[in-house]
Amino acid sequence: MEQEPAMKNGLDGPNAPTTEPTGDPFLDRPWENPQAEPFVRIERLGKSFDGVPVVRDVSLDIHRGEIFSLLGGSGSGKTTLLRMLAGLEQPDHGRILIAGQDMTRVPPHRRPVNMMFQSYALFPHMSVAENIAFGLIEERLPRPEIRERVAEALDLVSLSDFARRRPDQLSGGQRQRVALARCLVKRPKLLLLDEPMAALDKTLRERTQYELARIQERVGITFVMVTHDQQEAMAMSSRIAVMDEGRLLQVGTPQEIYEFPASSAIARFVGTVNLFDGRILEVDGGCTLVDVPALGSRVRLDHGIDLPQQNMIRIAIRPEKMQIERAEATDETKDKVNRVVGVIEEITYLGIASTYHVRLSTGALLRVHQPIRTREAQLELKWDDTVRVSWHPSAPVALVD
Amino acid sequence: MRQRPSLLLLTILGYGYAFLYLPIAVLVIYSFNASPRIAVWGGFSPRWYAALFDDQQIIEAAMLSLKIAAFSASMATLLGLTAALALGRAGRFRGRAFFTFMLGAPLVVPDVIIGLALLLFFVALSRLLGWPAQRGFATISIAHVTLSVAYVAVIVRARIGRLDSSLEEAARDLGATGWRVFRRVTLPLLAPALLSGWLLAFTLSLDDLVIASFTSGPGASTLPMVIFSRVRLGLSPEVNALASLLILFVMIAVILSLVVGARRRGRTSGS
Amino acid sequence: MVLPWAWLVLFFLLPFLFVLEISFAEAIIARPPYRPPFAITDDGLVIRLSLFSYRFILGDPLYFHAWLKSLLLAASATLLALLLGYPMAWSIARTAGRRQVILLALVILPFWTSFLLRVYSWKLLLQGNGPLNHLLIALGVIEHPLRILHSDWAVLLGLVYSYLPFMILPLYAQLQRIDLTLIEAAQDLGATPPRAFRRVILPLSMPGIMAGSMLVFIPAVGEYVIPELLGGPDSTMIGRVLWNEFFANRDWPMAASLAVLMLVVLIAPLALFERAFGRLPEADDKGKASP
Repeated sequence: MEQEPAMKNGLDGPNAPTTEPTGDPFLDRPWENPQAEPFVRIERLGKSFDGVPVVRDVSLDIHRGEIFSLLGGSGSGKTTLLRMLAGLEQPDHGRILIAGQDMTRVPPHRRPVNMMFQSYALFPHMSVAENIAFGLIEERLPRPEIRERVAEALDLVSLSDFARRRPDQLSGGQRQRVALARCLVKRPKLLLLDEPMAALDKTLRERTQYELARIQERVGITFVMVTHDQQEAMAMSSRIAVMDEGRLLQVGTPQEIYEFPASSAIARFVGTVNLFDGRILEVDGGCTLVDVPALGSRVRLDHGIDLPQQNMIRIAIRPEKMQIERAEATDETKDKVNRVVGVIEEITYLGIASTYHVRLSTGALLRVHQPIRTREAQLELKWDDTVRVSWHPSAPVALVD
Repeated sequence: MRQRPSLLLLTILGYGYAFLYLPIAVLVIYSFNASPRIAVWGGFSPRWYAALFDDQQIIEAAMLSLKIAAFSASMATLLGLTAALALGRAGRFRGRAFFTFMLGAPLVVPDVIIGLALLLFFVALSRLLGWPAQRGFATISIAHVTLSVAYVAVIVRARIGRLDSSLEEAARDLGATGWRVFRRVTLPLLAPALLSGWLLAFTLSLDDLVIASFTSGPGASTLPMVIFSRVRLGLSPEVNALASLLILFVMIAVILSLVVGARRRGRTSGS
Repeated sequence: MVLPWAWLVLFFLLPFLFVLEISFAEAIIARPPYRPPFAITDDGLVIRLSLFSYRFILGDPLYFHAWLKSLLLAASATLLALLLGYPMAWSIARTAGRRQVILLALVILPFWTSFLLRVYSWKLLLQGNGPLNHLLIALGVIEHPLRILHSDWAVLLGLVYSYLPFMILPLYAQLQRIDLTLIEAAQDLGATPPRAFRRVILPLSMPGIMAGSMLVFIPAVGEYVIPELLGGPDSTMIGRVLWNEFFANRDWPMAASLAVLMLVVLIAPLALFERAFGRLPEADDKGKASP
């Protein structure tokens, strides 16, 4: 994919990120800038099918140059939200503004928005080049310009040699690139991607994620992507909106979503997590001490909390943020803060890591993830071994459900 | 996951095909029979083919039949496409069940009834309005359109059902308006179904004896009507020759379409 | 969008109202040969409904006989076509790749050739001194030529022959969809092959059997060409009777009454057909409706 020259004279014209003078503290994170105008503004959008609400009162700001992911399971309303951005569905209420203009009632063919469909929706009766030219012909552009722009787009996705092929003669990855080129050639202000990797096999996905991100960086077009795959969302996105039952649960960077999930539902959906209910014992400045009966011990968090003592609270600890080591059954120190003792009930060997299921004396089950650093490491701990599991006060997160 | 059919099944299959093709083979063989006494083999001769091309009645009837078939097939394709689009795209509308029923009914009502009904209708119409003054090309064509609209609609409707709706959405997304989406995406994708629909309607019209007999008037005889009048009471060597030519023509057409289809598939899987 | 239905209302539904009207008319010698049941004269609207035709048809054992023979022949033809078509469809569905395409094309091919000529070919084949008898005598199977032509047997043969593709195609479409591992699963669970067929494959192929049977039975009942060309003078199927009433006897009201009665008799299987298959395309719609 070496085609720098194509980019210089072509696709990055009007849509390239406005190169701000250096020194803008919000250059990488425009959403943190209170003065920044969002590029896409979704205001209280709602949509029902046959009386069943699918998208409920969603408000969302998306900034120029983002790869923004809508993450959720099936029926979460993410695809409907995307289709409303494309104009393929009409919202029941609410507004959609793109670059400050109200697009809510603008039909799809007049929107500066293009969509890459999950099935790619390549026209089977047209060649690759004809597919890519489709939208330009609809714009009534002169033929030489169409030819030139199609050639650029083919070059951008490295498919110049396949221009005359038909879609059914292409591999899955090639078809995806044709679909991408067909959108990009229109120079949209906003590109919508509906499960862009769903039709690809697993080995191809990772490479494609990287390529897609690279192309996005080059053309500078804002991407909004729908996915049900949290790893894909984490790998590609500048920000993620987690959706469930038509509502936005949380909007944030991948790191925020993973490290500081707003609720146990998000914590469970994004990665695996150990969840326990506890009672606040004391809040002292930057620290919180929580009694967790299920663990039979206390948990210290290195952040304060806005709740009075004795309040119930939910604690989440990611499996990879805990250490596990062999211990004696008698090793039950009195001061059991951020540490528990249990017996290994199950070991899942994953190659790069092992997952240990540790049964505590309280009956609770703890999942602990340990990277395997040496070939023998995995053999050190066996079933029925007594182990001590401990974690740093920065590991647990308090959730307010 | 396929298992080979057993010997018994293959035997039945063989006899089944023999049953389907034996009479046709006999017809072709006897079309070269030199003897005018058809059942008696009198040596090989192409004389009946020559006689066929001299037979003005048959040639005129064939021309009329081809004209009717071409016209009614085109009309039926147009109406069938419209009906299929209405059923496939318009969603729920008032009287949809009635429309579906109306469309399907000609598929299952026996020919004699359709023919009789249309004749009585044309007779009444000509008494009331003075049209049709004469029955012939127009009345037979109308009858054949009525007969084949349903077939075309069923074929096209099935194709519409299998269309990926995201193709049309993609076209809209890429800037095409309603009519342009139809012309550039929907219509080309439906083209194979429209072609098979047209061919089927053409064949139905060319093949129809009963409805044409009812709806034609004196002086207008289609090819099946002429053939029928010749073979009703006996056998006709010229009809044997005609049948053989027709079979040859259909064979070539089907083999061609198979070859084209195979080549297209080969090209696809070859990539 | 209205056009196709305007056409069908005008050229299909409306004509049936005329059939209904004329079935209550009185036959007279005139042009056209009936007295309209509704007429506007100087005295205003004159209604003269005659039940003569209906009474005649229902009272005459000859017509009853024709009904019986039509239904019997059509039912027998359907059964025979099913018995022959089912194993054929099964074998085609289980043949791999290109060979399947060819086998299928060979079933469809006769359909594209003229129906009339294919029926006629049996007339040639079955003659007293025709090729079939010659062959059978030469082989020593029979001593005297079989007299099949111009009998009900020839009509039955013609019906099975003409409508066999209509049985095979829907059966094939249905059988091709059946997952063969179902048989293996049934056998694995202890069913013998015949029982696996009866308990698994047969129920699954029922829609195809129904579709094929209706496609053979309904047109076979109203068949005219086959009994006319292959049948004897007593092969009076109801379509042939209607034709003769109309063309030979010029009794239009009688023909119209026969048509009305024929529709009534066929409504039961038609409704069955509608229930089994009318809904299928509608169901497809719903599957695609919501994104």
